[in-house]
Order: sequence, then structure tokens, then C-alpha cells
Amino acid sequence: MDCSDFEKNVILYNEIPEAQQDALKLHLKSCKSCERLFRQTMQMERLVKEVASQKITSANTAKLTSRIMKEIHLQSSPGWLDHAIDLLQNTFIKKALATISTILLVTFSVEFFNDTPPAKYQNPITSGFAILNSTLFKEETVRQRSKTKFFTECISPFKPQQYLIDCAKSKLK
Amino acid sequence: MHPEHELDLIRKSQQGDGTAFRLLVESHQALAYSIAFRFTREEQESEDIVQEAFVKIWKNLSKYNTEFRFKTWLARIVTNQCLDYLKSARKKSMSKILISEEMAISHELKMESEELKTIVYKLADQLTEKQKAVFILRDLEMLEPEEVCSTLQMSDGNMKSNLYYARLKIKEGLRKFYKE
Repeated sequence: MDCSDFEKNVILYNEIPEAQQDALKLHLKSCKSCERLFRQTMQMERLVKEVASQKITSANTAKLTSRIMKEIHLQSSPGWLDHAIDLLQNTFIKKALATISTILLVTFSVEFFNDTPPAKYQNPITSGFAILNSTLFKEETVRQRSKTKFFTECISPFKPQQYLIDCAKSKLK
Repeated sequence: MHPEHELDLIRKSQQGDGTAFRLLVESHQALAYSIAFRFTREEQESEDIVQEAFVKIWKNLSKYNTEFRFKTWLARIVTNQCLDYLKSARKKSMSKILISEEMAISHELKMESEELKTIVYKLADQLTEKQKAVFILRDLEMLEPEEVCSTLQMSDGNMKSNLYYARLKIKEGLRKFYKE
């Protein structure tokens, strides 16, 4: 090993293994230039250590801690979307929504298949949904029943079809 | 902090325990701030970096590898953020901080500690990013060589090489002020 190899070990003195440190110490005894470099390096190291020993702390440690915790809390607290997802995951809400959906589906299906003529072609009294008055509803029901009863006498399973026609004609007369 | 107690706090924090995480913050905040300040030398910037680092840790607690010490993990995150900050700061002002000869002449054999600190930091500013990171962590924060390697994710040889050039440059810079 020559001086250039030892030079590197001088700079990295506290990083090298003990055996290399011993070899360097031995070399320093016989090499004045390396010994001078070593002395200089140790002086510089002392200055750097002096800087390192000056502890750096935040002016307000407690304030910084609470600032950090506040930010963490803010980032951890759920937003409106998380709330909405949580709400949808609730069993009761799920069932309620399913019921509402079924009701709406049935309502629209009934409406779709309803072949009742539009209201303007109906007698406002006879169209079932238009009867809001209970008295009118009752009268209409009685009238419908009497109408049905009117032809009941003509209907018989033991008489031919012609009898039903003749009977209805005579009743209408 | 005892490693077992630290691990216990980390486990509790992983389960969302804010109080446990607060204890972790309180016990490691000083190290994080010290590293950040040595890099940036700006109070506000350092506080922002420390805050961001802890928020990042909180979000990634589930990924924490128990093989590494919490301190090393924190130092790595803080150092990376500091290096990012330095990159953006250097982009903003490319002017290098050079130590004037006038400053050198005015200094006596024994420097005032505040002046010495300023000079060392200014010299550190002239190092490359890796050299500066190694110098700060090893020589100023006095982390163990293995911790430095782990923090900066570099090999022992790479760390020593960077440290060698960093010390050489700092030494040369200080020689201007130091009269034998």
C-alpha cells in the first residue's frame, strides 16, 4: 500500500475495520505527510462534530405534533361519498330501497297494461277511479248489480243459446 | 423508545389507533425535523416535510416492514422528500452558493459556532445530492453506517464512496477558514 491508499483511509478513518486502522496508525509513524493529513482531517472532523452536536428542534414541537395529527385526522375522516356508500350498506336501507323499487315497478307495470279508455271517453261517474265520493260510488255499485240481475233470469245452463238471446230481447223490449 | 414498545405502538396504529400514532410522532418528530432542517435550513419547509412524512407513514402503515426500524423508515421518507425539495429548489434558483474569499479572510483560528454551522451547511450545499444526504445522515445526524445504507437504499461501498468525496470537499472548504 502506498500513501494514496492510506489517504482514503484517513478520510474514512471511522468507517474502516480495526485492522485497517492499525495498519494506518503504523504507516503514520513513518510518513510525515500522511500524519499531517491525518491531523488536519481530525481537526476538520472535530469542527463537523461541533456542528452535529448542536441539536435542531422545532420552535414549537407540540404545535407541530398537533398539526400532524390534525392533518392525519382530516385525511382519515370519510367524505360524502364514503358516507353514501356506508348508508347503502345498511340492511334496513337496502330493504327499504328494494320495497320502493318493487312498488314503483308494479305501479308502472299496471299502468302500462291498463287498457281502460282515456278519461275523456268515460262517464265520469262510471269510471271507477273517478268516483271519489262514497255516496256516488255506492249508487253506481247498486245500479251495476241491478243491471246484472236483470239478465240473470235468462242465463241457464240447461237452456239452449237461442233461449238466452230471445229472453234478452224480450227483456229489453 | 424500546423496540418492543415501538412495535406495539405501530401495531396499534395499523389498527387505526390515533393515540398510539401520536406517541410515535412525539418520539420521532425531533429526528425527522432535524434531518429536514439540515437539508433545507428553512423552518416552515422543514415542518411541512415532517408533516407530509408522517401523513405518508400513516397511510402506508400496513406496508411497514418490521425488519427495519421505524426510525430508518422515517429517515428514508424524510430524506426522499428533502431531496425532492432540493431538486425543485435548485430548479428555481440555479445560482450556487459560493463562499467568498472575504469571508475566509475575516475568520480567526477559532470560529464562532454559529458561523461554523453556516459554513458547514453552505459547503454541504455544494455537494451532490447523494453526497449531501450521506454527509447529513452519517456525520451530522450520526446514524450508523448500516442505517445510512438502509435509509438511502445504497450499498456499503456506494455509501463510503459518497462519504469520502463529501468529507474531502467539506475538509477542503473548511481549510480556507482554518489556519494551522
